[in-house]
Amino acid sequence: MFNNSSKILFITVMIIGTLITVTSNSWLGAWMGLEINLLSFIPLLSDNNNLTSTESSLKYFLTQALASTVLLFSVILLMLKNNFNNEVNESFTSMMIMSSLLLKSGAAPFHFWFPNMMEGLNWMNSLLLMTWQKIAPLMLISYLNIKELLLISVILSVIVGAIGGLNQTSLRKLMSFSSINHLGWMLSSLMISESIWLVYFLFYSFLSFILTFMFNIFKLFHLNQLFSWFINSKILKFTLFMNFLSLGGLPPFLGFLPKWLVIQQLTSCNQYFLLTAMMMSTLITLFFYLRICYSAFMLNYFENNWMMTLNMNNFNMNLYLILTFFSIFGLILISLFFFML
Amino acid sequence: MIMILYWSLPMILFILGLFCFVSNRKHLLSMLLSLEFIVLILFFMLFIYLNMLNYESYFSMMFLTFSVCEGALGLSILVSMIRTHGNDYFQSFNIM
Amino acid sequence: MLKIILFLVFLLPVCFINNMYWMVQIMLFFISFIFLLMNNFMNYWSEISYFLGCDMLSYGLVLLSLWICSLMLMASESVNKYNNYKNLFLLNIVVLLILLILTFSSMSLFMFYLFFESSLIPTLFLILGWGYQPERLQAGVYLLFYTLLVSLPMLIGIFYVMNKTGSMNFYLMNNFMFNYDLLYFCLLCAFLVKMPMFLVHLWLPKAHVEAPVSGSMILAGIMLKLGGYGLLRVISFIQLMNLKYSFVWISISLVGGVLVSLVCLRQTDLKSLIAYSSVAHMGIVLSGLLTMTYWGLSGSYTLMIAHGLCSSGLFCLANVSYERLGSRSLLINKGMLNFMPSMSLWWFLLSSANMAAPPTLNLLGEISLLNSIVSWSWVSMIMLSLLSFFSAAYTLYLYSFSQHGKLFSGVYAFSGGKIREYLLMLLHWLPLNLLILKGESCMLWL
Repeated sequence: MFNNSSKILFITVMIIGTLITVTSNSWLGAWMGLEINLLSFIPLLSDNNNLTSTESSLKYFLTQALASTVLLFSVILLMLKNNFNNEVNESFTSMMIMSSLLLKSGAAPFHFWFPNMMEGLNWMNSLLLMTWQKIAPLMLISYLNIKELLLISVILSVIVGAIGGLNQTSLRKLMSFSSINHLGWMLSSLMISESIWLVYFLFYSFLSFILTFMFNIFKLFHLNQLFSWFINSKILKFTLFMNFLSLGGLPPFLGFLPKWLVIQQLTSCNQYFLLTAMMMSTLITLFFYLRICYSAFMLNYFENNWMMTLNMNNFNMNLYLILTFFSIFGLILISLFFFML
Repeated sequence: MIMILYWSLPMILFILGLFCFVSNRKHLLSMLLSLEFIVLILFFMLFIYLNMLNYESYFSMMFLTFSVCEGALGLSILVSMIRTHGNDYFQSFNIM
Repeated sequence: MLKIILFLVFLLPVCFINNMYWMVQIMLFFISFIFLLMNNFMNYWSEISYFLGCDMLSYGLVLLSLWICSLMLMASESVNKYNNYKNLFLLNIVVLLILLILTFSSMSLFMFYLFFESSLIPTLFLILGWGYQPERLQAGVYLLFYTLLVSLPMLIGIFYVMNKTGSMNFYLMNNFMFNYDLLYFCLLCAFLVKMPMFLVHLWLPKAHVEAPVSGSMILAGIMLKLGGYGLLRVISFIQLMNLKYSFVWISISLVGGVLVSLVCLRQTDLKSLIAYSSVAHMGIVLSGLLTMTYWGLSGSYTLMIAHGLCSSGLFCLANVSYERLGSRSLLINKGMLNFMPSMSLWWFLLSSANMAAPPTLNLLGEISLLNSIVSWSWVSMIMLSLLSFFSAAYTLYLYSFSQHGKLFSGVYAFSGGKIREYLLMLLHWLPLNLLILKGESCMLWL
């Protein structure tokens, strides 16, 4: 990636676009940031030699262009309303803004483009799509204040993310459905406080980074590749898939921490029904995570006799080990850091 | 009467444009054209709004720049579509 | 408590050194003897460090988990012999032990929950990693999801309690009483599944059948006791609701205990039989506990410790036969008296402990549980008598079918019991029969 100067340019512009959105003080500025982000993300996706990535950049372009036009339309409507007192209902326009932002981030009633598009990308672009591209729309959603649509979207996101992943065999689709599920949690944390959203987002990005990093190195795209996948040490494979349990939010791992924060805050706001829906659907996501992990956790199973040695270089190996260490023992270490603060 | 021109016409046109955009087209190019139509409506609407702010229409230049960039990006995707698939029919795409 | 934890944490690197299997095992014995000497017979929290502490209730269960974990290493010698990922195995067991000790000794309800859930993960790894058959995947999923499905509502309940009381400390929370049905179900159901109560016990036989011997030992020995321990902790502030609803759980577990005993009589799988028998025993523990009488609480704690040692020993014996015959079926494991007469003695001793024969701790526990349940309602005498009868019946069935009678004709080569195995059995049996001499350490914990 870093050999290609245009990629560096586009990544920088993409970051700038998100920063413009996040820091802008008017909706028009936010819209401009989103446009800049879109305009620079598409060239990152497309690859002349690859059929699927072109297609997914097309899908991304069409949905995002639609979403930004609707956003701009409703923003202008909102501003006209503020200038002239007339019959345009404010909750109507803000609901339109919200739904366009939900479309941009890929939350549940508007999620259909998301797994389709992920299927065509390589892992690094998927990572950008799952993490970085969510920042701007989610920040804008946090400015709006309509609970109903947000609640519906949260519940639908967690359920769709859980049910959708059940019958998949493609790792990218599994990751995208899990991303939809996590998006539901992020939206719900957005209802309470932005700092909890930030924590959740950071931990989610961290955990999905480790997984996509390894998938990218070993070029893993489907579930059956995991069973015939040889790396020299079983322990390495074991620890890699413990990151999935961490992503699923099981207690002794780091992934439990953001869930814990959200759960605690939601209980203090008496959102018990919402919380129950979220937890139960997360249980289902945990089920398909566990299905991915089978090949690693069963130490002895029928294997191929040949060995394809895919070696990691030393730097990647060290990076992976450090990150995995934090992902597995992070919950304990966090408490140490907490007492050091 | 002029308020109807301000409010209802752009809204109706915008909704028509959206309908045109999301109805299942055969060609990618027609979809891009309908997107351009939507952008024009938005420009119209933005212009009306900016006229109400003492004709401070600088933002319309920004808007035009962005929309041109977006249109160019759409066309470039169209070109790369044609280079990889050989046509711009939606039915040739992988639905997945 | 922190010194125990730190000892075990620094045992973790030792697990990575080759040929340190017995070293780790001896170290676990060592720490359990040290912990044994830390007993100070206090009914309130002592040994407090950080958020950890230990009263009599914690003390017994921590000691039990130390003991069982060291015996687990002793029992699964085949992992060492065939080098079946033995370093990972050691690591897994020591981590599991650390988590269990943290569970039993944390003084805060949330920390208890955290480690309660965490201890599930190494158990899952144990079943998936070292189990024998492909069905272990299903067993692992059952284990994980039965427990998680009910314990996530408990997490919500715990935060609700925290918002109301402003504290998570067990000692401070005893001052509160909650009169709220939903909270009661949230807090109780997680432990009922973990115990397991009849109707939600289906994960247990599956997990036992698929687990390696160490997995079965830890499941029967400690994991089931987590449920009882949690109940003993939380029952104090949901007792008002418990007065209203306890009859449901008590009836289910008594009737279920009888049904499960009948199921036991029809088992052909050694491990499955022992697993079902522990469902029946935990049913009595549960119903005694939920009567909330002094007898019941003391007896449930006593029987939990007794059952932990006894059923773990029976699983070891089943494994001894399995390693020689390659099968757990009772049709193949029969007439073992002909081959291993000395092992037969241990079968006899542990079976008699399982049916609560006189000099064992099981007897003490069952007597006080019977007292409490009968004093709660005399109608339960019907089910209790059936339960005791069938408990003796299926244990006798297990013993006589596996030891007496004709030998299976397909057996060729065979090795007698090893010293390690006899020591293993002795170390299960000895505490059972010694503890009754000092019964107040179990009975007078309240």
